[in-house]
Amino acid sequence: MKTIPIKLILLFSLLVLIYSCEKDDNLIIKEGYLKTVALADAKSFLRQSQDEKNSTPEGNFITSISDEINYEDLTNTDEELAVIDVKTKYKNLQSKVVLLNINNELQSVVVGLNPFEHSTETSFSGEMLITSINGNIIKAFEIEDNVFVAEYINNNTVHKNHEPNKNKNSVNETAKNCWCGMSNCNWCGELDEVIITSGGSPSPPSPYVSIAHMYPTGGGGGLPNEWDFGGGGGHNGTHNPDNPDPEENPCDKINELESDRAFKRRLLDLEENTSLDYETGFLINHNGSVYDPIAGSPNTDEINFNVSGTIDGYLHSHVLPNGNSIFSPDDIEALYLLYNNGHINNTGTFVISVVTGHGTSYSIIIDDVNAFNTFSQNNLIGDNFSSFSIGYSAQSDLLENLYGIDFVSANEIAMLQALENSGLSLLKGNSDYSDWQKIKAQGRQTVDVGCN
Amino acid sequence: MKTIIFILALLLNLSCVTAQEVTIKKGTKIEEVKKGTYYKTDRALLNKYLGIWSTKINDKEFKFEILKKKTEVDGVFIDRLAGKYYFNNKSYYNEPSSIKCHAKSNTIEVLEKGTLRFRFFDYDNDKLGVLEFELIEENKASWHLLERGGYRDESFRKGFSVPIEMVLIRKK
Repeated sequence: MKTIPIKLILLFSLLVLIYSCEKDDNLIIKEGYLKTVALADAKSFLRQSQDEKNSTPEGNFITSISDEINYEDLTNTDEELAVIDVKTKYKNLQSKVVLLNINNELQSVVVGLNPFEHSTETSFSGEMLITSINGNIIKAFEIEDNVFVAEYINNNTVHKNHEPNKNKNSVNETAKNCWCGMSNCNWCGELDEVIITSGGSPSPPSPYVSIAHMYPTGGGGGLPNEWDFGGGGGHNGTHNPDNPDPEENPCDKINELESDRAFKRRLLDLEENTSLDYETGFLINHNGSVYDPIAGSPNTDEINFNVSGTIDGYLHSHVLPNGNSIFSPDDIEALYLLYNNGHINNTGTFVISVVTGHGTSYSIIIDDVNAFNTFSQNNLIGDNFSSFSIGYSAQSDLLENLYGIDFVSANEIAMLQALENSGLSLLKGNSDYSDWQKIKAQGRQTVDVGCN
Repeated sequence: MKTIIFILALLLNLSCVTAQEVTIKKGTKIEEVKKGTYYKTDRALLNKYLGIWSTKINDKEFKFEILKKKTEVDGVFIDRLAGKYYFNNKSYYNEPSSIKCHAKSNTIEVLEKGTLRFRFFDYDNDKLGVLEFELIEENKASWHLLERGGYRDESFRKGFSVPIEMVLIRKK
């Protein structure tokens, strides 16, 4: 009888040992399954990608690659993801190449994010597009408050009819008609089925995506390995009409534009739209929408808009072949009419911007509202407006015909001269709208000047 | 002595007069732009557009006259194209203020292309528009009138008092 408890204890110990060994094996398998891509390998991958991009710059999916490689944590493992910022042909997406060794094989995907306006740094709402390095779409997700609410997969089956998401504050009006519900219809062509993955789930504290979503063989059992992809904030909502700040420091205003990611994204959208045969734009904080889309008629290069209440600015495109490379005199007149009709929420923060098919972008801010008012009375009303617009056009003609100055520069100098003493500042944007330089005409040249 | 001074003054004056006009053609390079000079646009380019263009609308004549305007800019003179129209027996057609249509761009490159865009003023509707004037043949042009862009309040009056699409023939 005494041997029975001893046997039971031995049996229990053996079971504990077996379980313990199995658990260790699992850990070994899992740790061997995922490996951080060594810096040398990541650099080699980067070089190869850059070579491929340079060999076919026009047709390549990736259009620019950062020189910097970041290593970012994965949950439940000490291994890390190698992350490289890139730009792709989907210019409005914040894209990264994400590298990981899985089963000793280097796996790469491009993760692109399109945050909606209400998205914040810690609570991501928007779209995530996962593609191969060549741009073949693998998956797309719609995410609300860090919760994956819809998944679009590429499984080569017949796609279902799907109501477009009308609550999306979509960038592009036409996007609302995409069958797959995404804001870019180009993505739908490769995505065949819609699966609603969750609804009403509690929001995770950070925007995580599982590597199982990113790589075809990702996962590997055990606890999930997830990456905090960082998300992105939408527009700040900017101005409080009850607490106006009419004479904001111009430097602050410019810095705000440079750091406003939603603003930059809308300009990237407009840049994409310069290939259309009509103008598009956004009214800022209009009719309950942070960026209320507007569009001109097909085959025209003019955009008309009406405003109810007040707005914080407007952005629009100029399309080829007839669109100007800078603001037109009509744009300046529109600014005054908005001001005069009481549609400007706060002259201290109001901004108008134009992105043109000539590859240029400009913004105007109001530095001195009294000077602007006086200037407008003298230049933008009735016959004075005709003189203003003729003066601008004649100056531009002179610069091109007599001084041999190119079209874009001639328009820029002519507009700067036309806006002299207007109380307005003209800012010139860089290619990704992250830098805005205040410019002035100096003789027949444009010079950058300090924001003050 | 007086005769010599007179001849020298005359020669000097003549040389000044001739120096005050320069014709701009395609590829012309101006080494130094001189104040007071009239930089004339190549007449052959302007001639494609200048004159009276007309058509009949319900037995009423519509005329659009394109004129050359010598315009002062920054102390020099250049040529720009302007226009005025006649429709429904408008009395202001012959008034100087009736010239309210101006070609938006008058560069050599644009003039060569054969399509001009005018800032058009509709007298009856008291509003501006955009006129696209395209040469179809030597003396034949299409007229296409468009709304211009920008903010429009409730008072905005859509449409024009003249036809928006026409084919015009130049009178000889």
